[in-house]
Amino acid sequence: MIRLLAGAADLLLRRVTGSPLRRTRRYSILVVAVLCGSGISLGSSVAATQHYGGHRGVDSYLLPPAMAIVLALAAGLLVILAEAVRDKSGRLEGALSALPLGRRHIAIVVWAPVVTLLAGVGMLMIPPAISALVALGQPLGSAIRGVVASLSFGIFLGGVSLAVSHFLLRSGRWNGVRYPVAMMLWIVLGVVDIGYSLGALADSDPSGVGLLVMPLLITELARGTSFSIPLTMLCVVLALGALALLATSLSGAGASGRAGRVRLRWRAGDQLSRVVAETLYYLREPTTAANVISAFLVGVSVAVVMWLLPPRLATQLLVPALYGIALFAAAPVRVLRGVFPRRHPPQQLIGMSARSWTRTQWSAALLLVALAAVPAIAAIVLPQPNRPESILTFVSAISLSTACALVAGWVAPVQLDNALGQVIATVLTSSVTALLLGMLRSSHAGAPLQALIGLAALLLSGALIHRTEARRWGDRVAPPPTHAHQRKSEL
Amino acid sequence: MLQIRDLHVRLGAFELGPVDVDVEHGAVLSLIGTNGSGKSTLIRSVLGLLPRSGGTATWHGHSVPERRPEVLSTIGYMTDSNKDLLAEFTAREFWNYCRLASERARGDRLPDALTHAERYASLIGLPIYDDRPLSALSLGNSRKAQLIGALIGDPDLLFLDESFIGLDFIAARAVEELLVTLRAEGRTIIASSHDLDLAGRVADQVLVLHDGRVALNSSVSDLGGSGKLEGAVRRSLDQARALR
Repeated sequence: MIRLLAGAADLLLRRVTGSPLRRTRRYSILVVAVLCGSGISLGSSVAATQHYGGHRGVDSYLLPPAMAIVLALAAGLLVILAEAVRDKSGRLEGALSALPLGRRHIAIVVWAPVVTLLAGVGMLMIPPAISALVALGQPLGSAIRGVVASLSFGIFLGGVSLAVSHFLLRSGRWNGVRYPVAMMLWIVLGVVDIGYSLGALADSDPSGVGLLVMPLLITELARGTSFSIPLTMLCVVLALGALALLATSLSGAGASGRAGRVRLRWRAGDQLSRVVAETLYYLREPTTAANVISAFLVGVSVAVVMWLLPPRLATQLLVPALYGIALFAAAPVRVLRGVFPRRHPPQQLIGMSARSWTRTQWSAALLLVALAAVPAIAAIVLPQPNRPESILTFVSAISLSTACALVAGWVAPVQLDNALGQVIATVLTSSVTALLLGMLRSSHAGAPLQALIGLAALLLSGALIHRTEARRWGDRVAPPPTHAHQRKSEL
Repeated sequence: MLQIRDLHVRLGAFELGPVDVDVEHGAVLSLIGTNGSGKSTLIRSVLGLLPRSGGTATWHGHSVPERRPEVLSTIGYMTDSNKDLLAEFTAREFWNYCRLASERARGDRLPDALTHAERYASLIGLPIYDDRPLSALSLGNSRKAQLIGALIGDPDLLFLDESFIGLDFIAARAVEELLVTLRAEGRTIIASSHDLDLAGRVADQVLVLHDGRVALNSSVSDLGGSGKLEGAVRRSLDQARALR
């Protein structure tokens, strides 16, 4: 068992550090990382002691609650990251299931290295946090309890989010969807908790929202009195409970990856219907379908909020709402290329040219974006008095967002089972797109010119993804023959 | 005729070549070799899916690795993995998609493609479900669907990489009969396989690879017929090992 654990740890290390490295080099990277981490942790502790030692400003009572929030979020993020870091391809489980091992042992081998790695990273946060709280006037015991409670509550939020997503999306079909759902759930829980906590801090009365625990936690830290032992115990129990729930939900997850029945069928007609086929294909693929549905739901939610807002405020928020919907509706497009292998997708193997395929992909992407965005946009724009300008604003935003997503997806495709890569790529693409949208908005160009710029970017993205894919395929680009006889006479 | 001349491929530490082989139109070439000998590499490099470090591969005088649509439209390819499928499509949808891809490449319609596909499916025992995607099928059935997909474009030249993986013995016999039928129709077939009996029954010519080098390139009749194929292959592999 120990050797199996060592092997699984080595596999994990290979994933984290990059597979081509030799074992000795991987271990040396690990040793350097541990030394650096410890150094940073100790250095931060000393710096926290020196920095907060003399801090007695009017806002000093806010620092411990802020620290509790940061610790809880960091701990939750580490739990969520565990899902991203572990091997989700099922290959490790598959290899282990061929050995005389029970399911529990297999789960231990798969999860123990991941948990150890992330627990190690989590431990590095403890000394600086305790030092800072002590420097801010908390007794040592109270500071330790405060830090433990904050970290435990963060583990609870992250664990519950993961457990719920695993419980709701048990089938192996949802492997690619589970992680973003857990992430979104965790963000929602975190935002609600922090929101209520800040409210409770302002009122100095957490009684109404005590069930959320975090308001209790931060109001207690803000008081500066000794942190209560029962509250610490409660947080620890919650964390352990969430981890137990997570372990239970994981034991049955991902058992079957077989697809369900096809409900909407595709009947081929002409070449144009290949666009329909590709679109339908993506809507059957669980990850892309989940992305499109999420984008659609976000759009509809924004539309509902806009309807509920007072008309004056709704008018003020119109452009941010249109930009937000455009960003979300275009986001699934970045995922599309990752559905197929980076090298030699099936379309290449059946003899299709990169030009033909990327044209269809470009069109299918636009269709998916339209599916996600049009209902919400229609609901928002139609009641507007300045309808044409709103439509042009949206056209510029959606065109630019889709162009960015297409280029990002094709230039740097991320496979669907690479959860961490997906998160990083989504954040980067969204940030760059938001930046470009902001630049376009602040350029003071009129709405028609902005729409033209967006459409030009969209057309350019089509050319760019074709060049990228043609280079990847090594295609000699040649137009298809116009006559069937040409083929027979040549060959 | 398929002509491969002085073909070299370098993939990391592995080197394939030189490979020189001629395959007559309407002949079946069986690619034989131990695991990792370079069979799939040879097929993929001929098809232009892997970069060559040298050499040519021509089909009736046209370079195959350049992947010109008009040349590709006469070629069918079945990979050695059932992952190389559009798994969210049903079998019929996948064939339809392959048909459209072929029609686009050749600039001509293939109105009977699906009828032929259904005939092939019945011949090799593939049940067609209109409500089940390929990802829901067993390995054997998804391989059958993949084989039919390679035949959709009515190819003159067919590359089959380990086409018998995952097939039960009845399906394997049916696929063997299909290969014989395809040969009788005048199609040229390059098929890699580990089954020497099968190669003896179907192939006109064998190309044995060992560690990236050609160990034997001969017609089956020159080797004394299918009954003597295994002995000849074993001897060629022993000689190749001794030379290395």
